[in-house]
Amino acid sequence: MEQTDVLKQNTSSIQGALARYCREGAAIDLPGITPGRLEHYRRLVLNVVHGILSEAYPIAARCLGSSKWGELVEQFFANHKCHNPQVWLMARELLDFIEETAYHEAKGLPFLPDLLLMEWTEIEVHSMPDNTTPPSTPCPDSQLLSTHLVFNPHYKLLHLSYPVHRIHLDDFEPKPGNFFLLVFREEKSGKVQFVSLSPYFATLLDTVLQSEGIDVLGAKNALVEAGIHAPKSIHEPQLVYFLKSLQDKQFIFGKVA
Amino acid sequence: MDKELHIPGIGLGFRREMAEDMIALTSGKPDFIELAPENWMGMGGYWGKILRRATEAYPVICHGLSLSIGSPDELDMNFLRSLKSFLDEHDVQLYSEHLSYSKCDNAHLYDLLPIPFREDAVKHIAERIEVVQDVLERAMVLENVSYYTPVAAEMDEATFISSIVNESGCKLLLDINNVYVNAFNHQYDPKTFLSSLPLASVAYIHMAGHEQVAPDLIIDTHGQDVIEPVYELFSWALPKLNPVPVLLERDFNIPEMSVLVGEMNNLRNLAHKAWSKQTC
Repeated sequence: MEQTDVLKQNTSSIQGALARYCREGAAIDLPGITPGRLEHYRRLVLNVVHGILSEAYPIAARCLGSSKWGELVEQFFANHKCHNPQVWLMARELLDFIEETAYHEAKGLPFLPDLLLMEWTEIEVHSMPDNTTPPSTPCPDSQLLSTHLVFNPHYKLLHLSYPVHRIHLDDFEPKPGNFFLLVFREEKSGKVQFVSLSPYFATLLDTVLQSEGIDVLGAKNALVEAGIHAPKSIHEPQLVYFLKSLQDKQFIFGKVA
Repeated sequence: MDKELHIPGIGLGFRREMAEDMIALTSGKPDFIELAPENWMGMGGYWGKILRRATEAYPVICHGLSLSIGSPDELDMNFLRSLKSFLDEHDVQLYSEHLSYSKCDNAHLYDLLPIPFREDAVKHIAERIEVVQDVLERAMVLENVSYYTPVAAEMDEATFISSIVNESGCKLLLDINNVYVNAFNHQYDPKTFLSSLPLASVAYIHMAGHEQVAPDLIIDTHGQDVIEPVYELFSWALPKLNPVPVLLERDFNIPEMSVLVGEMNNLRNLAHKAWSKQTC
């Protein structure tokens, strides 16, 4: 803890002890307190943390059940130093805590990081700062493969190891694999959409999105050069159908006007 | 800076739960809104649009949550710079914070912890207020907070607050409900307490409801209507204050907008009665 010149060590230590009590809950003895009142501070602090995290991760909270979820929240808050001054961004730090401590492995919840990531990504995409795109017009199907497309800039592409987007709370024993999820924000409504992608479409889309000024055929050829070939079932009609569906969903805005 | 602080009128705390209703109000509108910058900074999408609509519809005052002016930790300069950008972008002239700490050992707690009422804490906070004012290029306004126990106090609360105001030259956000809550919880007379504060430095007033959770304990929840004794304390204090903006806070158990409009009207009538010879 940084000390200023004027704040005495004793005062600083007392403040630190109160803060640690609120985070960790171990009994403390501070001078000049009213008996029975300190507990309210810990209760109020934890109310805020429980409220924010339960709102951010409603599926994870239900999936774990109140006991396991409550234990996770309190473990997180006691052992992780939340660094973000914006309380809604504190929810992201739960994911950091899980990954840093491998909490999910110790508790036999291997899918938990993916589930938290998916739920957090919904918040992140919903709230991410607004970006502008060039003016666009709807792109005819015949041009979707060979035109520079304008994409919705508010998105995340997730690679998951568990199918947490198909979660059924009553019967959830997910098997690991490779799952891809496009998460994007509708331009007009601001609502977040999730689109499940096959591995090839996800890789192709990622290549287009990461490469400036490349069209889809160019991205497909770049993948071939990198040794990644389309599955036998995917030909140009399937690619066009895939792109058309993304345009219908307003992830592809169209072609440059 | 005094001139910049003067935004008279009756305001309402702007929360997501009532954002659409507040923007849509056609009668009984607040004169300004107050929002917590930490809840809106960097926000795009739906909430970014809501914020733009709100700031187009109303003048904005900001009331911060995470500055942690009383913390032993160093001030977070990156946060301060982001905060300044936000205040500038939305033309926020009045920025206030809590006289408490919410971060320690480099960990945020997201709630308001009581600072030991001590002379070294006074000097520590006064130094930090100067830094904050320099970075934000705004006068700082600090709120007297509710506290449920003193911690290692070496002076009383009124002396602590007054010393900080005198030492730093900052302004005071007088939360009348907090005075009532503290007077109840620590068994002192709220009027005597108010009289001992530097009332000429009050730049802003908060009014809110609270919840009694035990025979001897009230928690400052902002989740109930303002009760009559708090209105009475407000009425008693007003003639002793310069006309300043008054805010109604409601954070939980949010009622129909008509109830909040009614409470704002109560505050407006009382303020007008007390300050009728001056602009309110």
